[in-house]
Parts: sequence; C-alpha cells; structure tokens
Amino acid sequence: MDKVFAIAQNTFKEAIRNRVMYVILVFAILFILTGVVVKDLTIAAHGLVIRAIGLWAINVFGLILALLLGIGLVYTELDKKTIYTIVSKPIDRWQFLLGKYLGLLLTLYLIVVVMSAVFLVEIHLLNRQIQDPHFGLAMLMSLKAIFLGCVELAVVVAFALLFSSFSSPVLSGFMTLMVIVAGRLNEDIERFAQKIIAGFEGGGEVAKQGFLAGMAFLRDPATGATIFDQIKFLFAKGTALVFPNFELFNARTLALHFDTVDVNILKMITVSTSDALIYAVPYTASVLLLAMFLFGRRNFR
Amino acid sequence: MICSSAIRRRGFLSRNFLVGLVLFILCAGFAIHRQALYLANMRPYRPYLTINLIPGTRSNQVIKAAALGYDDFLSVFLWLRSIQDFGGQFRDPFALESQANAFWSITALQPLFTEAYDFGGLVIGDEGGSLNIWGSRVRPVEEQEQGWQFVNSMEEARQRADAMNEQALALFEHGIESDPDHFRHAYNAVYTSVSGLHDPRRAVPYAEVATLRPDCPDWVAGTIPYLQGRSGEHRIAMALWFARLREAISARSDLQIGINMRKIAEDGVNAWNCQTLTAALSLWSGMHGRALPDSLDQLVTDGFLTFDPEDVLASIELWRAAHSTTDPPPDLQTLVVEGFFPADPENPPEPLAFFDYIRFLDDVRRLQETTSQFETIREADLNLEMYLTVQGRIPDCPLNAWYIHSGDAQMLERMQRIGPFSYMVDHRDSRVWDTNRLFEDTARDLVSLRRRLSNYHGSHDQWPETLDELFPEGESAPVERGTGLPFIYDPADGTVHCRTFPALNGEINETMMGPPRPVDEGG
Repeated sequence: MDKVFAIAQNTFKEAIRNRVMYVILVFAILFILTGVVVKDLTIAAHGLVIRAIGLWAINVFGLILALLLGIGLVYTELDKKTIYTIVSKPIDRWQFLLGKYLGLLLTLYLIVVVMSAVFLVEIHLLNRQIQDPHFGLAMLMSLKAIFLGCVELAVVVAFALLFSSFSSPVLSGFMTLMVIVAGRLNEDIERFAQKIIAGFEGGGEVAKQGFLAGMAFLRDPATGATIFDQIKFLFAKGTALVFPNFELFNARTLALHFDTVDVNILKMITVSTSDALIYAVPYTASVLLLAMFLFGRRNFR
Repeated sequence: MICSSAIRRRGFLSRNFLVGLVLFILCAGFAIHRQALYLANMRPYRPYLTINLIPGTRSNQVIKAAALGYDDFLSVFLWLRSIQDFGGQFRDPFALESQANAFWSITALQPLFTEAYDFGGLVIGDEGGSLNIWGSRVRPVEEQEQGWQFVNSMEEARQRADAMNEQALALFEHGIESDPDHFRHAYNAVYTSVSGLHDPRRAVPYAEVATLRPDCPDWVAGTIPYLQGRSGEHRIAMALWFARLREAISARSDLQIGINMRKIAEDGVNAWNCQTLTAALSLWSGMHGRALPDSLDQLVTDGFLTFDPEDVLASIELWRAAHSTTDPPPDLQTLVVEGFFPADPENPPEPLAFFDYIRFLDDVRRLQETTSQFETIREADLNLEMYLTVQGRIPDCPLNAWYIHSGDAQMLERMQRIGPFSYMVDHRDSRVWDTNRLFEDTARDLVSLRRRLSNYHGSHDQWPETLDELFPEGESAPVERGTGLPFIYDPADGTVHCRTFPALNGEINETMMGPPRPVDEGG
C-alpha cells in the first residue's frame, strides 16, 4: 500500500498546483458568500435560503472539479509520457490507478472542507441577525448533507477514472456527465420502467417485483406486450439497476426543511448515512475494479 | 485449444485477474442488490408524485427532471425571483396571474417548502383574487388605452378574481397533501374560500382537515360551526356549538362558556332567523314582482313566514303556566299537540328546530345552577332569551327585523337611521343591504343601460330584442340589485324600468347616483 500512498501523495501535490482548481474554488466561495446579500431579498425562510445556496455551491463546484480533474487524470500521464517511467517501475497498474483515485479524492475533499468552512462560518455569522432557534441542528444537518455529497464525489471520481482509463478526456467528460445525469434521474427511470409494466392488464402488481419478474411478465404472450415494450423495459430497468442512484446521497432537503417538516416525513425522503455508505463503498469498489481491469489490459504503445 | 491458450496468454487465468474478478462480482453484485432493494422500496414521498394535483403538470414535471436533483436550490431561486417580481409588479393583477405558475413550480420542485404556500396564497389569493385590484382595471372597450391591459366589465373582473382564488386553493391543497404537519395550509384554504370566493360551504372540509393537524390550535375547531352557519347548515352549526358549550361547562371554562353562548345567540339563532327571513323575502318578492313588502309583518300575513321564533318562547311560558311548572315541556311535539304552538306536527317549519336547543339550554342552565360553582356566570349569560328582550328594540321596527343581526350595534344604528325599508337579500352572501346604497347602484345600472340602448339604436336604427344583446357574447345584462329580478324592458320603444324603485323610472340625475366610490364596493 506504500506505493499506492506514494502515488496518491504525488497526485495530490500535482492537483493542488492546478490553477484552474483555484479559480473554481474562488468562484465557489464567492457564490457561497452571496448568501450575505441574497438573504435580504427574501421575506421569510432566511436561513433556508442561505443554506440552499451554500449547499448547492459546495455540491456543484465539487462535482465540476471532480469532472475536470478526474477525466484528465490518466490522460495527462499518457500525454506527458510519464506513464512509461511509472509502468517500468515495480508497481502494478492497479496500484497506480488506486493511488490516482485516492490522491484526487483527497484533493477534492480538501476543497470541500475549505468550501464547507466558509459556508459554516457564514451561516454562523449571519445567524446573529437571523436568530434561527434551530441553528445548531441546521449546522448538523448541513454537515450531513456535505458528508453525503462527499460520498457522491467518491462515486463520480471512480467513474471519471474508469472512463479516462480507456478514452480521451472529452469522451470521458461526456460519459461521466451522462452517468451523473442518469444517476440523478435514477428513480425517474425506475418509475418509467414500472410504468411500462403497469400499462398492461395485471401489470400493476408485477411492476414493483423487479427485473426478472417484469421480463417474464412482458414475455408472456397473454399480456400482448411487443418486443419494443420488452426492449424499453430492459433498457430502463437495466439503467436504473446498474447506474448509481445519486438521490441516495442527497440530504439537502433534510438540511433545509428539518425545522418545519415532521421528522418522519424527512426520514422517508432521506437515506441514512450508514445505508448510503453500505451502497456507495461496494459500488465504488466495483467501478474501480473495472477501471483497473481495463487499465491493466491497455496497451501504451 | 486455441481459445484456451489465448485466454492463458492474455492473463485471464492469472491469480490477480481471478481475485479481481471475484472481488468485482462480489462488489458489483452487492451494490446492484442494494440498488434493487432501494428501488423496490422506492421512497413514496418522492415530491413530484403529487404534482398531478395541480394544473399545468407537464411543465412542472419537466422542470423537476431538469433540476437534476437540485430541486431545493431551484425552488429557492424561483422563490427569490417571485418575491422580487411581486414587489416589482405590485398590484398589477395580470402580472399576478403569471405569478401563480411560479408558485406551482416552486412547490412542485419542493413540496415541503411551507413558506412558499403561505406567500403564494397571499400573492395569488389575497392580491390576485382581490376584486378591488381587478376592479381597478375595468374599462369599457372604447375607453381602453393602448399599452395597458384592462378587463371589459365588472363581471369579467369577478371571474378573473375567482379564477385566481381557485388557483390559490389548488396551491393550498397541494400544501395540505405535501405537508401534513401544519394546519396553516388548510386554514389558509378556509380563509380563501370564505373571503375570496365567498363560499363558506367549501371552507368546511378545509377547516375539518385543519383540526386534524398536530399543530392546530383549539380555536380553529370553533370556526367550523361558524362556517356551517354561514353555509346555511344552521342545524349542524347549532349542534356543534352546543357540543362546545357542553365541553366548556365540563371544563368549567368561564371564557369559553361566554364565547359559545354569544356564538349561539348571534351566529346561531340570529343567523338562522336571518336566513329564514331573507328566504321569505326573496320568495315574496319573486311572487309579487316587487322587491319588498310594505312591512315584514306582511310576510307573516301572506303566509311566507308561518312562524315567529318569539312565539315558541311565549308558548313555552304559556305551557309552563298551564302546567304550573318551571320545567320546560319535554319536547316540541307536546307543545304542538297540546295546542300551545300553531304548527303542523308532522312537518314543522325549519326554525322550530330552535326549540329543542332552547330546551336543552334550559337544562344546561339548571345544570349550572345545581352543579357549578362559577360565580361569574350570570343568569343572563346563559339565557338565550336575552335577544328577545324588549329593551333595545327599535320603535316601529317591523316584526322579526330585530332578529337580523341583533348583536351588531352598527347594524342597529343603521336600521334606526334608514327606517323599515332597510333589508334586502343579497343572494351571494346573504348580506343585509341598505336601501340608499341600493337605490344609487340601481340608478347607475339604469343610466348605463339606457346609454347602451341609445348607442344601439343609433347604430342599428332599431331596439334590441333583449337587453343581453347590448353586451358582448358571454356577458348578460345586469339585473335589479338585491332581488336579482331582470329590469322591465320593452323592445317596442326601448324603455327600461325597475320594479324596486319607481322613482328611477323617470329622469335620473347625478344626485340620485350618489357620490363616486371604489368599483368593488358596489358588489
């Protein structure tokens, strides 16, 4: 693991020298600080508005950086030909890739910590004016939202690394973006799949039963489903199952509305941190394993 | 053989590869299994599922999808935008119409945004549904200036205001469904139904929903009988008030007993009497072709009011005297069968229902006398008959007139000021109108009608068959204020007359039309 950490350290040092990152960070901080002004534009829900802007900025700018830095991670090494010196050394490719992943994640988390610190100081200072009675809880909930955002970043970076291990940065960026979109719409895609089944007589019950039951139902000639219905279902359900469900890492609603909405309702719309981790860790691991496999087969000639 | 050697050559049988493959299968399998579990138990509260409740659903679904999980941020952005827009377009009803869309989008994106329902209701309902604001934009077509938006008539203004109030109700219903913790969405719907749409019947279920919310204060339940009474469901209203009175007595709440007693007297008995009386007036005017009888006594004489509530109490006293007891009769039937009250035992008129309540209250009074230690409760406080006392009765006031708003001092003063010809039926909200105002408004309507007739004759060289031809399609000619009867129109010579005020059938001068007033006050 020493080799992995050495590469991670190197990747981190390299990343923090990247000026684009600082420009984006400055933008992000400026955006977070707009809460100071924007709070005067609202007539109610001052705390909510400030938190919404801050949490959005931390999440979006974190994702932008993950995308920008992640897609060029392997390509830069190839472009500068430094990959040859690395692979000629006694270091496995999977170690190289894992080190890159950890280094980038460390960089991103450092940026998130900086943005979060600015955000928390801001809401702490503004609370002197707003006098939010639930301020302490607001801080805690915001921290939970930021933490789950970090888990989401880990998944996104894994995908960026996967795509950059076999394609050009533009293509990697596009594919990672598509994963983000598919992940954000994951539950909608699942509903679409359920709707296909529910559209047939007797499909209401089957719709919730999963992939195999759904396919068996559609293949039954009695239902009258065409091959196109089967393809649509296969595609939608497959996408919903395989692509990550980023809504599971979204605790922003909890952080914004915890003080006005019953906790039971919020529990319904927010997955617990442990559940999110139980899902994210093996998912990220499998994406990284796939990336390692593809990178291991890659010919650098 | 070739295949297996190729597999071996490419390293697919290497230890590292096999370990990686096993790990991948385990990790990916577990992740997909978890994913399938989440999807199978997909959160039912996914906000946009409720979008179907509100109009314009398709665009909201698109916005929801386009938000890509940043629903909260987008809803806050639209919220800020709406506030600025509302401030910038203040009291422009056409701009407020478009604001409705913004609040649907905000609450579709984030149904838990409780402040958006409150403020949206204010913008769409209170402001956008205000007849005052829409009325300020009424201009006849020929007077409309370029570059400004107007409505052509008061009727159109009313329709637009009502439509906005309907939209506010749709927003509140979305709030009721999405946020089951707060009573205020349901109570805002009550407010909009009553004050915006003048439809208390519609407000009742909202009030009932509000009482089911965990944060609902006690006073909200007290509005239900009031709304039932305003809806004409006086029997239900009285039952509810008496139930509350009973609770107040059980709880020995001096304040609540006083409040409920007053409600029973004013909003219960008086309102019921008022409705009975106005219904009789309406029927009478419909059958006689005149707005008002010479006096309210005539309603009784002509059989439109078969019963005077005062008689019930008088009958009770007679019955008590005849039976040498201070107890009330056991029930109404006894009173009727024994001939103390002139009514058909099988089919008593509606106000006779009072009797049972009065008797019940009598029992309550006795209960109070025997069990309660309240020193502050006075006999008069528990005596419904106080509204029938001679004291304060207006001299020469027609029979039963006293029952109209007897608890309303302002109304009493008005009654004294304008005399017996002071009661008209407003079909919309059963308000009592004053004759002077009615006279002036009718004069304005007549002047307007005659001007339109003259214009029509000038351009067509003939008189229209009906007054409705003077108005654009979809609109109808005004009717006589209060009674709702049409003006008398003769298509042979184009003359138009009113039944209520014969003085207006001649020349109408400025004095008759009264001073200028804000457009919506004319009703």
